[in-house]
Amino acid sequence: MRRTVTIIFLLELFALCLVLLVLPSGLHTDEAKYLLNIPYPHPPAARSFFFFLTFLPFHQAVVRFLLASITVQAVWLVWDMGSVLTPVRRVMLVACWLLSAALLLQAGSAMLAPLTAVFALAFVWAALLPAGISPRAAPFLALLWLLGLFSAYQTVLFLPLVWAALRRGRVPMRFVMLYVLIPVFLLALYSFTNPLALASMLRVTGQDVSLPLSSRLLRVGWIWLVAGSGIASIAGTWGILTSKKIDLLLTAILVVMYILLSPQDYYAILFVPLLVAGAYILLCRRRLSPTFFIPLQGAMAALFLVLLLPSPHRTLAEEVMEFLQVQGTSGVILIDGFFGHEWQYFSPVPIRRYSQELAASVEDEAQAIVCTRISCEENIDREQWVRLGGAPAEVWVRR
Amino acid sequence: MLSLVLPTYNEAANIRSLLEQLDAVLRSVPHEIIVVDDDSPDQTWRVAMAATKELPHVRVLRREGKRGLSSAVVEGFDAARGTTLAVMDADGQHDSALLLRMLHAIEGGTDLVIGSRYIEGGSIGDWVTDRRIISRAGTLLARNLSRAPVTDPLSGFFLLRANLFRQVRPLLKPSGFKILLEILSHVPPTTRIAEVPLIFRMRLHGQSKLSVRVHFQFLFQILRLVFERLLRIGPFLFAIVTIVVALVLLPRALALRLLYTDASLRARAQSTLENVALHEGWLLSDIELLSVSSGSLSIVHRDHVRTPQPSLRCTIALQTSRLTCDAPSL
Repeated sequence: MRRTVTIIFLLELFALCLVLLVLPSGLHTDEAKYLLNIPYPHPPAARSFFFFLTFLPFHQAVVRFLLASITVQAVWLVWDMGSVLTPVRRVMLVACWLLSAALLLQAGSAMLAPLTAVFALAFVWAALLPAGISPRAAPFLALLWLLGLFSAYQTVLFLPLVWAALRRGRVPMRFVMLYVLIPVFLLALYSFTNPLALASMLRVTGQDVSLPLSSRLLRVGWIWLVAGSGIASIAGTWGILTSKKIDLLLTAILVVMYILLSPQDYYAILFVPLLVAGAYILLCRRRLSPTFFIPLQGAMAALFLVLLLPSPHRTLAEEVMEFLQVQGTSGVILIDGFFGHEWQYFSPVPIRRYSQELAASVEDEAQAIVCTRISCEENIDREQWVRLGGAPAEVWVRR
Repeated sequence: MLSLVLPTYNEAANIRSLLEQLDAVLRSVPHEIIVVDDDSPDQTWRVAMAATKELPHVRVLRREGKRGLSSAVVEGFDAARGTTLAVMDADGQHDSALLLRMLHAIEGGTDLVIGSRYIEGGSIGDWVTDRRIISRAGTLLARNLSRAPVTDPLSGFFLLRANLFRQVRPLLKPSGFKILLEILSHVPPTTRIAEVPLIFRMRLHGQSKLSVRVHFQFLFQILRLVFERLLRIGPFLFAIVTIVVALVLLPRALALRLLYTDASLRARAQSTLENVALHEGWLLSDIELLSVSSGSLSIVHRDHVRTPQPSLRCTIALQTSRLTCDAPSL
C-alpha cells in the first residue's frame, strides 16, 4: 500500500516535470482551441471539460497537469498488462510507455492526442487480457469507447481493438455489434450537427494533399521512430508483426494510414499504445536483455527530447494581450491579419476580424486594433486611431 | 457435521480456554473446530496445536506469509468437512452458547444464520462512543450492499450451509475483515436467512486488531462491492446514455438535414455565412449553426474567450444576407 502510494506520488512529480518541460514554449493555437471549447474539429466531451475548468487560477497549467497525470498514471494499465512477465520484463514494458519520446514531449501539452493514446492503451489492455473483457464489464468498455470517440475523432482508429476485447470476452455477437457500432453511429450523428467540424476535417486532410508519397512515408517513419524512442519502436513493431493478432495489426495499419494522410508530429503518441502491445508480445516470447534495453530506451528518449523540445518563448499573442490589459483595453479588439486561437485565449475581451467598415461602425465597442501583418498603417484611419509605442506588435488604440 | 472456523492472530492468551469452552458446548453434536492462524508472533498456533492432544476435534492450519481475517475464514471453510460451516471470533467476544441455537435454525431449513448485534435482544456491549458511531455507519453502508435484508451484515459470527458457501465461493474476493458482507453480496435471492440476537462482549485478553488500516480495507471492500453492483447495471447504463445522447443530437441533425441533401442550398448557406462573418468581423468558429431552411439560417454567435460572454441568437436571410438578432443572453 505504502509502496503504491509512493509510486503514485513519484509519477505525479514526473507528470509535473513533463508539464514544466513544455509550458515555457507557450500556448499553441490547437491547445487554445481545446481550452476554449471551440467547436471544431473534435467532439465536445474533453474540450468542454477543459473549458469548465476556466474558473481555476492557472487554468492552462492545470489542464496540462491533469492531462499529463492521466497519461503518466496510465502506466498502471501497462503494469497490469505485464503481470504475467517477470518483474524485470515488466519494468522493460513500463519503460516503453514512460520513456517514449512522444509521451515525454506531448504528455504536458493541452492537446487531445495524449488523451486519445490513453484511451487506446485502455483498449489495448482490454484486448490483451488473457480471457478478454468479462461480459459484465463489456458495457463499461462500450461507455469508455463512447467517451473516447466523443473526446477525439482519432479514437475510431482503435475500433479493431475494442471489437477484439469484446469478442475474446465471449460477449454475444449481437451485443458486440451494439457496443461497438452504436457509439460510432452517435459520433456520426454528432458530426452532422456540427458542419464546422466536418468542414475543418476536410480542410485539414486536404492541407497536405500536395505532399509526395515518399515525403509522407518519411514523415510517418520519423513519427514512428519518435513514438517508441527508436528502441521500443523496433521492439514493438517486431512484436506486432509476429503476433498474428489481426486486431492489433489492423489497428496499426489504420494508424499508419491516418498519419500518412495527415502527417502531424503530435500524432506520434498514437503509436505508443500499439508499440507497448507489441513489446509485451515480444517480451512474452523472447529474451531481451534489460541491461541494454532500459538504458538504451532512456538514452534515446533523452536524445529525442534534446532534439525536439521546442525552445522557450512567449507567444506574441500573450505579450500583446498583456500589454493591452495594462492599457486597460475594454470592448472589442480588432485583429488585422492572420491569427490563431491563442489570441482569443489570452484576450480579456472578444476578438473580431479587422475591417475598415467595422473599425468605423463599432465605435463604442472596438478599443484596439492589433496588426499581425508586416504593416497595417495604410488601412488605419489615423484621425480616429493612434499607434502605441513600446508594444510588442503594431497596436492602435482609439484617440 | 458442524465445522467451526476460528481465525486467529495473537490470541495465545484466549485460544485454550475458548477451545475448552466450545468443546463443552458442542459435545452433543458432531463437529470439528478449525483454528486458522496467520503465523502469530505470540505462537497462537503452537498453543492450539498443544490443545489438540486433549481435544481431538480441533485442527490447526498455520498460514505462513498470509494475513487477513476474511481469507483465513475462506481457507478454513475450504478445508472444512462439515455440512454446516460456522465462524466466530477467537477473542471471547462472541457467546459460544449461541452456536446450538444457530445450528437449530440451520436444521430448521435456514441457509444462513447471523448473530446480530442490532436486533432486539442484541447489543454492541460497552463500546466507546466513536467505535459505536463507526460501527453503526459501516453497518448502514453495508446493509445497502447486502442482497438480503439483514440488520448486521458486518457480524463476525454466523453459520451457513456448506453447499451455499460452495455456490458463492468462486465469486468471493476475501480481503479485509468482513467476510459475511462479501458472502451476503453474492448469495442467491432465494437464500433463507435468519438472525439471532448477539450481545457483544469485551475481549478476554490481548488487544483489538481494529486500526486505520482495517478501516481503509473496509472502505475499499465497500467501494469494490459498489463497483461490482454497478457492473450489474452496465447494460442499462449504456442504454440510457446512448438514448440520451441520441435524443439530444437527433433534433439538431434533422434541423440541419438540408445542408446534406441539397448541394445548392449548402453552397448558398456557406457563402452567406462567410459574408455575414466578414461583415460582422466574426470568426467562423464562434458561429454555431442551429437550423437551415430553404430561406434562412438560424445561428448562435458566441465569443470564445476565457471570460463568460453573452450569446447572440440570429437569423440570416439567404436571399439578402440580412442579419436579425435577438437581445444577447448569457
